[in-house]
Amino acid sequence: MFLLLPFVGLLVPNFYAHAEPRLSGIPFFIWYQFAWVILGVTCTGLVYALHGGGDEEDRR
Amino acid sequence: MTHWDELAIFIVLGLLVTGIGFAAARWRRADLNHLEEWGLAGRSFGTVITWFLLGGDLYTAYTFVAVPGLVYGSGAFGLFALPYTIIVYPLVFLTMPRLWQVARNRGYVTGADYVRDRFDSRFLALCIALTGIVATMPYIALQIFGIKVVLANMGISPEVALVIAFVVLAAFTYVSGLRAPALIALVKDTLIWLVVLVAVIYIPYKLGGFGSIFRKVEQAAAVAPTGKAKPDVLPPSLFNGYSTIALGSALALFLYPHSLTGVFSSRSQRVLKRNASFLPAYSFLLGMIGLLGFMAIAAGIKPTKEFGNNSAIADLFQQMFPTWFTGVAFAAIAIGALVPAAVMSIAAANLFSRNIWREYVQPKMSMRRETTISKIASLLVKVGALAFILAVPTTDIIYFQTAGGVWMINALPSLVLALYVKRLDKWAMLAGWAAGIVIGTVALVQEKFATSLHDFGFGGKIYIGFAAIVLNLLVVAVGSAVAALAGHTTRGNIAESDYRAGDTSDVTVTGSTAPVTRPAIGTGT
Repeated sequence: MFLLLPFVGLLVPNFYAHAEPRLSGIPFFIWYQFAWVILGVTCTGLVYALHGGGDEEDRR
Repeated sequence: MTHWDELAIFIVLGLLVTGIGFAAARWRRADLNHLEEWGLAGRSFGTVITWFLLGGDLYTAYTFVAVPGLVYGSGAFGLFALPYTIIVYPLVFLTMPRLWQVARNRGYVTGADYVRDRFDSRFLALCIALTGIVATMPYIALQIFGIKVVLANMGISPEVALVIAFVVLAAFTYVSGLRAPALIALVKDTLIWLVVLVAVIYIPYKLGGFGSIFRKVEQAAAVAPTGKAKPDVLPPSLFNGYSTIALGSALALFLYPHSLTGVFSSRSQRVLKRNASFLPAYSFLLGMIGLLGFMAIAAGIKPTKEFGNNSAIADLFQQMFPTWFTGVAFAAIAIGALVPAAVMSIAAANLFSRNIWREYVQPKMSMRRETTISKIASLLVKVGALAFILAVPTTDIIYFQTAGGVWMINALPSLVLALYVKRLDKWAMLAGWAAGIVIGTVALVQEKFATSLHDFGFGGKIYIGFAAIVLNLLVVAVGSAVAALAGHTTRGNIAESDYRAGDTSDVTVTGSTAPVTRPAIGTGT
């Protein structure tokens, strides 16, 4: 499920708490999390697009 | 020293917002003596307004002051705001449309309305309502704190100015209800985006680029005495604290009364899902604001005696921007405080009129009277918050916010789990809530309310609210299982069909929870 991806990507800091590789001087720890803002929007946006968010739909 | 040019711009923008606040009463004109109109704007907001309202509501002035303040004071840990506000949206996407639907079908104005009906327990509803009110009060106080920081930075006496700001806020909230903050949120967001975008381009330019900023931060961290370093990368000792506080805060955020008010005021499930998809754009903004904390370190900003680390951002603006733009920036922060303060006071007031006054004092009141009680309660809530901020030393106030999240998270089983799991026992819910509140409060007291991390004996220092919700859920699970074995069942008043969208034209919006004639549910599935 796409909605779970941000949890996997963000809740284990062991994977991303590094300074390298840098992006124009910004430590990896920081730009990685910024990248996840965009990935997060992509995940929820994708689910919205796929499931349409029709008002009648009852999701469990 | 008073900065007159900053003040002039500040006042002009303040007057503009006041005008909008009062004019909002005429926007989408309806009978404002009706609680669903005054308190939820008739559940009429579409995607755009909801986006601004929820954005303005959740990303508060206090956030704009405290997040960079925390980054400035402790380094990378302060950036937990990023994962927190990213993972909250999948949760919202999954759960809030369902809660919205049942609230719409059954005419609920507050989260506690749902709890009352779901478990047929007005006492459990009272506990949830009180949790909401107690967690919200200091949150409102923190908004005033945000205004106080910028006022003090402009060199005027904060006390008088604060009272003026609050009379204005109280007046337009009383008159226009939720419509006022919704409209003002448009102005607020425009200003905030403008200020932050300018700040993250202009300030790094003046400080020699991001590379140079982080070099300075790292040099400072390398020479700092142990325990005082402000690293730009999270140290391993804080890994568990970081992930639990991000997850815990995300679980608590949409339980807050002001979040639910924003959710309930939207027009449809579709509006909510769209918003859950696109609200994370604000997280980008918030992350950039967090980076301002690193910039303040690199610029050599010193903490002030009165506000500690929380003045870092105001000082940074003061030092970097031309004065007129500092005025715009400060006005943005102050207006950014008015929007959530208004929504929070409305939400707390609705809890009071619906779940305390109607339930325990005057069960058979008219909707007009219910709305009046709400309006008066919204005034009292604000007066209380103002008195609080003038009386309590400013450095202590932040701790109450910490505590608010730890308490609020304990509403999770009653408000969210209850949407999905049928066999929950109301006494187990009550016991779980109490257990979570107690363990959370005890841990907070042990930490003297100074931090929200505590070592519970496993996993090192973790977020107190996280431990509280784990215990709470355990008690709920065990308690409900025992109750089921003993043959005890909790019967609520909600049918499965109430969770479904139906032919909503039949819904009688009576403004009362019980008894509500169950609307005829159509065939829509």
